Amino acid sequence: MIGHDDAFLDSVAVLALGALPEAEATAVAAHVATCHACRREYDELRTAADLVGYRAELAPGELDEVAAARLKARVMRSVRSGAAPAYVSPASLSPRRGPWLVYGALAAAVALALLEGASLAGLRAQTNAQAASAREALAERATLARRLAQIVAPGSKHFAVPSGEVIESGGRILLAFSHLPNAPSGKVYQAWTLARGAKTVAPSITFSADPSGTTVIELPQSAANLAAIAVSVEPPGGSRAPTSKAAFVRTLS
Amino acid sequence: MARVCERDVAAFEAIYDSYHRLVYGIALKMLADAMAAEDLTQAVFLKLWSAPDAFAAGNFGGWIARVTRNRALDVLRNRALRVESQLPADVPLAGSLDETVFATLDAERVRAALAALPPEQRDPIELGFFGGITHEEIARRTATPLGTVKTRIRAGLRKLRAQLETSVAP
Repeated sequence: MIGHDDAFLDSVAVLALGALPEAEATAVAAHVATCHACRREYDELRTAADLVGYRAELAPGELDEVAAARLKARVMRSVRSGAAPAYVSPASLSPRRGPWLVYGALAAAVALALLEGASLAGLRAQTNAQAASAREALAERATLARRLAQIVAPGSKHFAVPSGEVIESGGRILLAFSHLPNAPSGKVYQAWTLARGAKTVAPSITFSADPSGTTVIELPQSAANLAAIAVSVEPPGGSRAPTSKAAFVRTLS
Repeated sequence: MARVCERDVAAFEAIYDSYHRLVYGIALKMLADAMAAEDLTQAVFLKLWSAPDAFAAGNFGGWIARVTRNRALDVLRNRALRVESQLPADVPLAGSLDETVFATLDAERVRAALAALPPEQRDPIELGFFGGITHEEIARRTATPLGTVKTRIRAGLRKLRAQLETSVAP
């Protein structure tokens, strides 16, 4: 039986912080799960440890206004567009539709956002709500324009996949889809990356498309050293390892 | 949060407005990449939207801070191209937390309590939380014996909790 000396309670504290090596964490957690005194110690310190994140909170104004509006627009768009997904099997992903549908829709969205930005800019002085909408539209335009520029940049590499393309551009990876079927109800799409020489894929971001099935996403991972990209259907929030057959696996060569 | 569970977009947006600077700040501090921090922030809030009942009780800011940290650790692992990490993202333990007393703590009081910790306790705690490294690496980086690092982490967390309990006492 593991004793409750100070050294062990110190380990419980490091477990609560989340800084124990995996093997030691497993052993300490196994004991904590069955020991009332250690469990109470863990719970108390874990509550304190969780609050450490507040040290990194940005003050109002520290986050660039345009970037903040762009980010909020991304999140709220995903929330609103994913409200009621309908089930369509990933196997029905069509390989026949050309990628230029995506870019046409993207360019149209940029043009529309430009118009929205211009017209909404005139309303900013009227109400705070309208001003927020204008900032979202402007930020949306900036994001769309940046991604469009990445897609058409000289030297960008395009790899066909069902319903779209994987694009490697400027060291980044983008996925562009048109007519992407909605993920099954209660599910989302998740991208996966395979590093050169690796035997297992690593999780990347989850995503969904707008009602027309159009979306362009940029993976957070750098393109450097990546051998392949895959997409599968996963539970909301994503998975650590694929739980369904990949909709596609595309090698980057 | 109850309204978010009922798929109230306006309620979700209010939570986003209140906590996006916390989530983005943690992501940026850990990943040191603005675009990656944006992606992580999006992922955290979409996870909140898709599974709001994952938050049971206690301080919501603390909960979402931990979720963000764990997600950031995933990204850092992926960058390091390691199949297995030495550091677990989290060790979930079943059981109930009686932490409602902390539920109403505001960010200002938490930051004040953290700032009041002695640097020799605060530094290893912040390295452990934001650095995504083990206590052994903390010891190496700070040239401090491992046992001392662990003791300081425990003492710092105890002191932080005590200060927060004092600040919320009626």
